[in-house]
Amino acid sequence: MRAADRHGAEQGLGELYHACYRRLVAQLFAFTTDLTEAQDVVQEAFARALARPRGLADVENPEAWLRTVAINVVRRRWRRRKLLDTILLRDRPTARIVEPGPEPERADLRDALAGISRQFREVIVLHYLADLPVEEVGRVLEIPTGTVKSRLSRGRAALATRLGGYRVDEDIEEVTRA
Amino acid sequence: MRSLDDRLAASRTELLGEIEQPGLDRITGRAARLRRRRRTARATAAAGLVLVAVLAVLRPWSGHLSAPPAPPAATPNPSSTNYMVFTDLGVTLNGLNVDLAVADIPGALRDVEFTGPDHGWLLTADCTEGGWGCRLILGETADGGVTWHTRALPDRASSLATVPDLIALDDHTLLLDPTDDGTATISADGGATWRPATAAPGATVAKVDPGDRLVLNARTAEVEVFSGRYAARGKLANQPAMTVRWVAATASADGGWWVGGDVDGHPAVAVTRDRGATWQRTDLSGPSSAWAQVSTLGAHAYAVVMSQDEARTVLHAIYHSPTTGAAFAQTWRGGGDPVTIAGELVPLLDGRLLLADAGGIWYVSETDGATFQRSNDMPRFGRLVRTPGGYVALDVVATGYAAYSADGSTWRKLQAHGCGSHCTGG
Repeated sequence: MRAADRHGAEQGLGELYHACYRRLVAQLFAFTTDLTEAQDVVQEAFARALARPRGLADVENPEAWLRTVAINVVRRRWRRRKLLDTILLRDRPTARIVEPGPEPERADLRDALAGISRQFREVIVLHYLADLPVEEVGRVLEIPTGTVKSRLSRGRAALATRLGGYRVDEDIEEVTRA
Repeated sequence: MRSLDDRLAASRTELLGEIEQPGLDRITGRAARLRRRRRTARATAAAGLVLVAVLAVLRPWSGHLSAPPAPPAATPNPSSTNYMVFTDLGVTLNGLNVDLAVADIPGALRDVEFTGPDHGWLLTADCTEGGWGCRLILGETADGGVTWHTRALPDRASSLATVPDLIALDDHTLLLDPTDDGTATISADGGATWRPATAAPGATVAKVDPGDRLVLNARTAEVEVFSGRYAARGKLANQPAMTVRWVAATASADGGWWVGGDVDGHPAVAVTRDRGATWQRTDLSGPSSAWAQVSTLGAHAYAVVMSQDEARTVLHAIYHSPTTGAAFAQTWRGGGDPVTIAGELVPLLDGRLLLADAGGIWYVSETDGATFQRSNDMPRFGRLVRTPGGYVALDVVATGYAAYSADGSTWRKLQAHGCGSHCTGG
């Protein structure tokens, strides 16, 4: 690869990096529930983009590409940890192979998010914390919009139960910013 | 009552405020490392193919001393296999095949020896609580560690500390060498029957014949010959002029047998190239009470100087000889990681070296031991040991598993399980 091409790819990705990094980290937080890990996988996605011969010049939607790569990294790590625990240790958990990474201090809400079902947590974080419209949440998770709304409704109820003292609006259409 | 939507909206602001965005230089540095890793992987694969082809044609090893063929290459995509694959620094570990049974063998896994890529043996010690009084169990595989057949041995050990060493000569002949004052026993029928291995008093063996193996008598520090033909052992008539603390499991490519130890507390190695008639000794530098052992591949010999510090073996120096040990030059001088070594140094076919430290972390050297790169992605293993048919990694992540490799680069976990290094009794 010529140096000029690489410089151009880095410049394009640099702009994308400044524009999308925080948004992507917030989205990945839906999958990791750990802000440090979310930042790490997003950085990994940008690094992989930079390591490509032409950067993301040939990619139609670079932000979606980065998000997909980061999500795949999360899922691969999760599978590896799960398999390490189940395959290497089998039925004898005599030693913990993968220690959980350092976790930031979580507010009550984050504790509550970590405690609800993964399906609910993903839609709530993507919609409310990462500010993705309902349709976009559906595309990211590869589920219908109706399912997103249903999970949002039930997830909010579960969240309110865990938090206590919060009012839940019943009509999901009114609270979503789709 | 507060609104959950307001709480979520506030949380969004908090979350975005917590996200620190590092400079782009950190990302470009990470990308550069990715590119380097890919280039190294491609170059390693290409070099490996060329080396394997060259070695297959030239066969620098000889006769019965030939290295076993490499196992099938690891599949890099874990989702398409029924076992997990771990790869880092060009070294691969294939995990347990989840579709196959794992032999759950009672007791602590003490020893594993392979006599070829398919045939291997293991020894476990099933002790009472506290490690006193141990039943010994022998496992045998004829399919590379996929299935295991076990039998309880007539011998017992008084404690875990006195469990004998298992030394395999071939697919039928085994030696159980006690670490205390007990009697060594030999089996010539794959462990079905055993008899004392003591030779006639004062009897010596003049030379080590093809098919024989040199072993160390830990009680006398003498080199002995373990003979398959006679299923017996005897003291080698001409001993190297040193205190022997280690004996190679196999002969080197040029037919030499290496031993390691010390001379008056200073590390030294010696080799015989005339089947034990004479020895050439090389004295090495190192602290007092240090000793040495040797790893070889082709014409390359590596002498490792080490000493014992309680339960750890401290690595002091590595010497490299590209001329089958005619002259050694020091490469590793300490001062960085790895500080310790567990087992033996493993020379890889691509010219690199693999080493495990006392914490089970793997290191790879591309500079004949002058510098090492630490693996961060491989599971932790215990000792790496050369056996007649390949390399063995003992006590994977201290859970009682072991792994086998014919070439040191591609490892596969054995489908057998004892309890790990933490295990002292039943």
